[in-house]
Amino acid sequence: MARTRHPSPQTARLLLALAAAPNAWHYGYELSRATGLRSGTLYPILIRLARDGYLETRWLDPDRPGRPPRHVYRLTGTGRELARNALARPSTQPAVAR
Amino acid sequence: MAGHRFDRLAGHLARGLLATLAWWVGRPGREWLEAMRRELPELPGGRAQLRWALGGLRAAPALRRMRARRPELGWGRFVVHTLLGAPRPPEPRLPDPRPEPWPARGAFGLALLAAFLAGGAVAALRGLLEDSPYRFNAGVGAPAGIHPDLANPLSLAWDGVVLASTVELAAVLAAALLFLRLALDPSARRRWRHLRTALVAVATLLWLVLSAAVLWGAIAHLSAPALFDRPPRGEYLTWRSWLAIVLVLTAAALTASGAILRLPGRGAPPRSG
Repeated sequence: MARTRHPSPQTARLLLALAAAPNAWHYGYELSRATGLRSGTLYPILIRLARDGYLETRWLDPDRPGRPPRHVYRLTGTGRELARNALARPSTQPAVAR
Repeated sequence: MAGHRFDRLAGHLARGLLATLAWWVGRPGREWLEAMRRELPELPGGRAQLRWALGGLRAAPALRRMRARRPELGWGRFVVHTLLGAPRPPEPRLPDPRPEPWPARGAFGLALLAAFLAGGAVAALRGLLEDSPYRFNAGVGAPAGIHPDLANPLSLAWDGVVLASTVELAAVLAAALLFLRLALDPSARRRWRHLRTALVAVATLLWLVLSAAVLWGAIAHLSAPALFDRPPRGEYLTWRSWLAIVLVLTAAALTASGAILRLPGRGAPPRSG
């Protein structure tokens, strides 16, 4: 069952980055750069969001030949709702990303 | 130049670390570590890749708790595959139809074989053989129950290991490291493809001969010193002999690991950049 506690500032920062282009698929490294989160922080959050149904994932074929497929992420409907709620709360307003 | 080499080494370490963690967590968490690994080519430089890979250490424990009850590659099967040099341990099932090779297999094989061989030799000499029931049996080849036709070549190989000069030891280690480096370098696969079978066979043979020679030599020397016609053990097996044994076994483990590592790379996609 999904946890109902309010997202942390790091999660909120990630939700903001994902919600900036809600229909687009995002790469992990791209999200890391957009949010300023290190991989050790970013991926546990991504894993948790995906497990709780806020995030959908898939493997995307590369646009450059010779590269392996990459994992991409996008908010689900409930994920967008979570992002809206989280960003509406002053206590979870993310800091400015790098 | 040194910085460039360190960068490449860091890149290798990053890929190896994530692959090892992916193996460790099992399914279904493996997908996430594989996802992290697929991002590595996008990062600028080996150091950045290593920093990225270190993040996997934070994610791995949670992912391991997600694993299925019966992972398709357990410790027991992995050890058997590694020790026997079996051609292809079961590949992880990924959404990607073209999974990349897993350097972790070679790195793990290296660590495992080095520990096994060095530890086994020391344990055999220190513990088991001190109380060998054949200790006072002076027959040629008798200590290990080996026929003299086999005991003599092993004796020569044992002498070669224990009495090896510094230059010989350095050459053996350098050759082993070169072999492992070639195995770790994906760009070398095309050049070495036609020699792969021969190299794997030689590496396996080297590993078996050296292991057998060292273990048998230790048994034979302690239990039947007359076979060697040498001074007492304390004068014959000096610290340098011990060092030679460990170095040669490590070189054999390096070579065998390289051989094991090369095998899964057959269907690897070409690297760009």
